[in-house]
Amino acid sequence: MNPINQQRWQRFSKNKMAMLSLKIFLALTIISLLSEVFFNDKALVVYYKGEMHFPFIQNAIPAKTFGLENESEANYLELQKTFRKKPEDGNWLMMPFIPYHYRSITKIDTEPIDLQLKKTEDFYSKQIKELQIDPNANKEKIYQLKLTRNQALGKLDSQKYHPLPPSLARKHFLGTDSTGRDILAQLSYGYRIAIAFAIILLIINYIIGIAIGCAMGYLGSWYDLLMQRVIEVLSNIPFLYIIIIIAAILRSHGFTMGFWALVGIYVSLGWMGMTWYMRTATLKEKSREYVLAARAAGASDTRIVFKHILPNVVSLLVTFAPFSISGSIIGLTSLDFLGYGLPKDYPSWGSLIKLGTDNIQAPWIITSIVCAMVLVLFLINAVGEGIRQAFDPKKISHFE
Amino acid sequence: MIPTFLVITILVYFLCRTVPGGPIEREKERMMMAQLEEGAQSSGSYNDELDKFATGELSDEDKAELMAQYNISDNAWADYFAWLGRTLSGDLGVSATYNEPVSKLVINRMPISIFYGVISMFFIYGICVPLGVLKALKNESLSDNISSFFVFVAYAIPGYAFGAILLVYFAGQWQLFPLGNFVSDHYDSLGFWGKIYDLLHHAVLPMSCYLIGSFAFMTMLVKNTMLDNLSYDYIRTALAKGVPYRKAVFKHALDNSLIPLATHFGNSISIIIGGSFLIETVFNIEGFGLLGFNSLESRDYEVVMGVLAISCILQMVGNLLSDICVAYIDPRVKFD
Repeated sequence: MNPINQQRWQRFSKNKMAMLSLKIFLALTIISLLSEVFFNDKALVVYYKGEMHFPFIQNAIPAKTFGLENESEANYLELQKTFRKKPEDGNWLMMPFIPYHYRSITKIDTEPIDLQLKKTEDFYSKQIKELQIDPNANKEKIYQLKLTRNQALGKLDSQKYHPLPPSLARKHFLGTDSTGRDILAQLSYGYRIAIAFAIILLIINYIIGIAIGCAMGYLGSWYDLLMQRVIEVLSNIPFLYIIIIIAAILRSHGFTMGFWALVGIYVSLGWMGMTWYMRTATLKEKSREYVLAARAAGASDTRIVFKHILPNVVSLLVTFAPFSISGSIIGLTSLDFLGYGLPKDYPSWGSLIKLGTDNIQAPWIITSIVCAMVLVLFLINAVGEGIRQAFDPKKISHFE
Repeated sequence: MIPTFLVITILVYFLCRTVPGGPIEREKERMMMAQLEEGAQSSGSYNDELDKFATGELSDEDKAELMAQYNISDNAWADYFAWLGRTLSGDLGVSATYNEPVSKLVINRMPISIFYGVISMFFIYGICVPLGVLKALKNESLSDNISSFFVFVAYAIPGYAFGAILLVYFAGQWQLFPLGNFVSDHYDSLGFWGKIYDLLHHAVLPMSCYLIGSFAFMTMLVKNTMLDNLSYDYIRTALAKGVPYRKAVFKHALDNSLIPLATHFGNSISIIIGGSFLIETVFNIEGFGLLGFNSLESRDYEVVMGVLAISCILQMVGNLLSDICVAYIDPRVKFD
């Protein structure tokens, strides 16, 4: 690391908010990268008859292996219960922190709820009957009692159906959605997709930006002029609208865009931003004396670009990275929200927002996703702001 | 500017042409359904013979008539230039789903988007400039840090996601505001004040969403440029030669800080009129943005092209307006 970058790093690490944000952001990203370990319906470790199994990294292990009837994969939550019933066998298994995958649909055990429903109904019916027999009873009171009964029954009854509110006992810390999938698991897996999308996009855009931008700035002449026009045309495109048009058209051909197709479209319409900055920076550096000196010493064009100019403009890339990432996350989420992004079976933040607005009776869905989004974007922006300040320390005057 | 417009419209025009499910195919489907129904009514049940009969093949005359109605011929380039000519003369074609001229649809939707655009613009500039200046003057004080935190959080929320959470809580859970739409169904039967109340009652939630993003962005923009300007030598010079502090800030520094705002003014124009179809989708507001989005969903390509053409033109007008504003505010920039 050269002294300038050391100074920049020092300035950045002194910025408490930026450092804290960076740490939390990295922690969240690592957790989401290891989603299979934290959020999974497959057990981490199963100890059965003296043998260890690791279902979460192995291919589907038939349930027969663990003494069950089924050929298909075991339901590990059920398996855990059967193991616990017979502690003398010495079998055990360890489930992940949240025993749900983003795909796993929780079946609600309605038996205890039905039992409770019956109990509640009996409890109220008895009271109401007593009052009805009593000729002196207040009619208003009977009516009130019926009302409370219906409310209590309704509340219990709603527990039989998804979406379920957050609950520690069920290990749905943020509740479930309308099909019975865990929200927290979906958040984690969805975040992983979004951040992967953003980083892949970032890398591709930077490669294109460096290649075309440096060439534009360094070569100049007709090439520069031509690319300038191309960039001008592309950057005036109503971005989201065009992507939706393309997606709609592909869909009507019976072709849904996968992850990579989406990356491709995004790159083909969004590579200009970085290119433009690189062009300007290269143009600036090109007229500096050190380039002239290198040329006088007989360095070739490739050597000047790669050995002299590039290291000096590359710092620009770092300052733009966080904002580019947050922009891509927002873009992907908006597309998923509108239904033109990733295919339906992907976990995604956008479709969670859609689910949240469609299930107004279940506010925990929208609360979770919006809070998660705000948190992540806030962290990324804070890091970005820290980097910007570290690269460009401003002298601020105070006048009193 | 003009090549941009041409490239974008050519791109989308040809994309739309290649799609199955255009107006002619839709007409075929409609014919097929009608024939099937007819057959079912006359014989009482579907059978193989009827299926063969109802292939939905259009007669040549019908096809020619439809092609004329939707301005389609076998030569796509000729069609494109015909479309361009018609568009430039103000005729955007006829919508296949609404059966109305596209220009009429657009004009009907415009006031809604303009209503939101103008009010949010008013608030953004009315609040952000003073707040930004104040934050710059009190840089790194407690009030600055607290408000910075909120501005930062606001900046992290995309407008439509904020809209979704407002909708669920304020409209769904607490029922303080209506669940979307621009006005109530019984709007026409209301009195003058009732109408205004109804309009504003519906506008509160979407308006907050329009505001939140630009609000944070603008405040920070004003604050940062103001801070830059305050640290320049010309302010020090002005203060040194005895210009009152107030005048140095509000006359010298503020004037220069408004230049980046002026460059953004043009972009706001396209948002004002074009609306944001994400927010309009969340609140089901029948504005310009939602028109474009819905026409895509129903494959009404005349409307898609019309909306696209208008948003391109708006964007270009916006850029032009920005340049004019900058030239007006910044004496260094001159038009030759």
